[in-house]
Amino acid sequence: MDWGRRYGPALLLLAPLLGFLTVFYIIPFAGMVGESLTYWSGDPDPGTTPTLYQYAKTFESNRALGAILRTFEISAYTVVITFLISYPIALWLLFAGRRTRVLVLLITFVSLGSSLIVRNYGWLVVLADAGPVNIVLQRLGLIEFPLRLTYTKGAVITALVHYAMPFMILPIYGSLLRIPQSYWDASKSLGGGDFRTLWRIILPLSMPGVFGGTMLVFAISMSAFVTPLMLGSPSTAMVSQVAAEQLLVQLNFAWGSAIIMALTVMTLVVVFLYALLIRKVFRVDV
Amino acid sequence: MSEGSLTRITVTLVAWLAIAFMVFPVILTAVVSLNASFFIEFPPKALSLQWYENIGAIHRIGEATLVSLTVAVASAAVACLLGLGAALAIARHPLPGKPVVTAFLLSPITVPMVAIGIALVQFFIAIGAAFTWWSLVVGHIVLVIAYPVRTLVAALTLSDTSLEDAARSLGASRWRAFRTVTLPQLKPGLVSGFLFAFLISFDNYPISVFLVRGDLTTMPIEVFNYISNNFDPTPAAFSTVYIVVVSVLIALAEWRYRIMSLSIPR
Amino acid sequence: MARLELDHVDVWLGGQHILRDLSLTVEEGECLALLGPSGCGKTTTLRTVAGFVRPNSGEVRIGGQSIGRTPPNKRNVGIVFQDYALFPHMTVGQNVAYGLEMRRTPSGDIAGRVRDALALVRLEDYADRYPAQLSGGQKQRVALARATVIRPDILLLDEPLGALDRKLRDTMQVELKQLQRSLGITTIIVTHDQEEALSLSDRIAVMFEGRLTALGTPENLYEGPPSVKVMEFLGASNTLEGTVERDGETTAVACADGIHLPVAWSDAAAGETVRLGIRPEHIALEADAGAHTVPCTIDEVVYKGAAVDVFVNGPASMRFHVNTVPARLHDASLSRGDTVHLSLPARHLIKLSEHEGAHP
Repeated sequence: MDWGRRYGPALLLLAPLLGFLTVFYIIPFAGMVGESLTYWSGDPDPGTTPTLYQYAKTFESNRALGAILRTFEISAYTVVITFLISYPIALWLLFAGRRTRVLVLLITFVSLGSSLIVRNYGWLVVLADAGPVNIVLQRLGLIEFPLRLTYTKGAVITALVHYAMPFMILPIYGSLLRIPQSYWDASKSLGGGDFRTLWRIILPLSMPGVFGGTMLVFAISMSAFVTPLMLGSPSTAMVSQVAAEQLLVQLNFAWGSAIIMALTVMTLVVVFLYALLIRKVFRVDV
Repeated sequence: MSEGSLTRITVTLVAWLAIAFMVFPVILTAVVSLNASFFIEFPPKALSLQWYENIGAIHRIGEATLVSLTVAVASAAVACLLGLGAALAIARHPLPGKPVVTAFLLSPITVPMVAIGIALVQFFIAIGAAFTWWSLVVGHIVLVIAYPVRTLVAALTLSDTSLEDAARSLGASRWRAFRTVTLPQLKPGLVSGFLFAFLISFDNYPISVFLVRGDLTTMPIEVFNYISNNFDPTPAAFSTVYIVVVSVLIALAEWRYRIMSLSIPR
Repeated sequence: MARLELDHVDVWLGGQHILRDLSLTVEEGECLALLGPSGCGKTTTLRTVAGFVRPNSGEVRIGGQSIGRTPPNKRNVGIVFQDYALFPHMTVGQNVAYGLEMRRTPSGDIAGRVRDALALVRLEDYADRYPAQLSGGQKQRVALARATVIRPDILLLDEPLGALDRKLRDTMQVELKQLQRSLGITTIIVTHDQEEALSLSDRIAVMFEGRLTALGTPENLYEGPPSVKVMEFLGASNTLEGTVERDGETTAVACADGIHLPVAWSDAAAGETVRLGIRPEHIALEADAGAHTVPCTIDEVVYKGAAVDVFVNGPASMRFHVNTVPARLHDASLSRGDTVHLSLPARHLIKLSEHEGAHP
């Protein structure tokens, strides 16, 4: 069959968006990669050969390397905690009454749609020295003086989990919805209790949603910027912050580009390897 | 799960705690916003609406909000238009390498936002168009494009292709069939794609912070700066207004167009 | 109303040869059933007639006119889709009016014709309802009204009863047949259900793997199928193998264990190996042995109400399916494990070809 007649319509429909993304997404990224391969922004000699100097610098600088390791650490905590508290919500939505289900789904969507800055501000209030957490702890007599809760790694992780929850709940709930009720019944009739049904039947079948959710949450926390800016301190800086600093404050475009490229590549590589692993081990399409 | 089984009780308990965790900061912010005192205190000793009146005191909040609104509407609208074509190509037509194309279109969600911002600001400086309203809109289209693509592909997958065939067999031209039969089916997908594109753009800080300078500023940037420099509860009042407006918008869209089921990936 | 001709049509889709040299004529006002297993190309045939699929070679003609390049909206073809494809955002009335609006029928006429079309399917009071508020049978009738109100040259029905439950299916079968006859539209019914094909159509076209393998009236095809595959697809059947023996005027087939079965046909040479087929209802169960009977043991009896299926084991691991009335077993007081003698009438023993004939 004629290639043009077969694929023509699809390519025509895709052309505007692909054109737009080529100009405003691919080319800028290529430009940034080019910038990251120079010694210094606006190098007077444009003929200089590309160099990995900025990348070497990234992995030698204590600040940049520290931020990279910290970003991985914070992301790992965020993914695990978000999964552990989101799965029960998704599961509970399955057998909740219609009204409560719609209400909780609405809360999830409002959470997804409302401002990150607004939500982080909420955590600033909750974790403040005179905030409710400190007050409760003091009233219970567990502490004498308010604990420093804001501007810590813990605060960043807490707010990131809060930010990431909708991205975990929705895919898991979606994949749970696809499991027919008869699978629960079948497992029960064969003598499986709730826990064993959950562990042996439901959890494996909901894996596509779990993988989708964890992958998304990992990517989100790896690239976190506003949250560590608002709830962390310079000593808890994540990669996006360090890169932004180079661009906005130090005006070192080359190094800033190299740092953020390193983050982008590492994030995509981890996501890709994760997807590959899932396909190989669990034979799930993600 | 059986009523009253230990597993079910545990799941329910954890679920409720997790939901409380989701809602807690929002409710608390609302309480603080009504507190008369300058300092955050619990429980509030006296109530007042003064912090709501003080929202106007946030630096350039009016014009910043206007910029954010126009940018969000423009970028969401363009993203929906471009996304509709792409979604039709993905859902309705044969295409070589479809998974790769789809993954590419959805990739702006996975790529760090700061990377998009840094890449674009250098690009716009190079072509001499940096720090303009237009460059901001372009950046936000890249940011939000994945949302309408995803909801529209979902809506197209749900809607029945035989409807369009039926319209064609009854005498409708390709365009007429699309307009009278397919497009009405896509309304929920368009509404939810537009709504989330709008909300994501309206709230964006990491990309905007690179693309604005001088006279051009957006609402999240001004609110962020206010929170960084002031300790009074004005942002709490602002947050409460924000969340109420978003809740109403989403509830209306859900009530009218059932957008939620479309945004649950299956 | 018009004659439909498919002339040596070939269709390739996604690198696969879906229709292979298909030639078929549906006469004016005739109702033809396209029957075959899923994936045999019957739906593609329908979509080719409708204009959604363009043949790679060959011609489609409606009323003598070639329409190979006419888009679907310019062909006057009505379709009832398998899932009905009623527009969910339009009322029943709007659905039925849609085709008339596309044809720029004066709005004064539209209301009347919509009312008539709905009256014909006994849904005149449902014009303002939405499809979601209708039952399966009602949806199907709206789809029929929508497809016929435009007075199409050809009416295409894609598995029209597939989505209905059994009881509704039986009543709709009668209604559909009456409607088709009263409107007199040239009709193609696509189905994988042999019962539907047998009861609804004037002629049946059987398709396997993109080819037309048999064509004939329901009676002819059922009683005298040309091949094993067609026989098995059109209903329950027994097949057995043997060697042809000729003795002057009479022809018989010798099967295993010295069983000789006289047959009514004579177009085979002595010594040729042939395959025989017989429908379960044509085999008679006898309590006593007679000429040319086959001694068997009753293995299983399945009671079906009006009929009873008896499965028997014969000599040389032969197995037969016999369909009879319950009274027959009862009168002869036969039950599981008893010995019976099967009588296979010569005129019902069909000679089957092993492979699918190219063109009937």
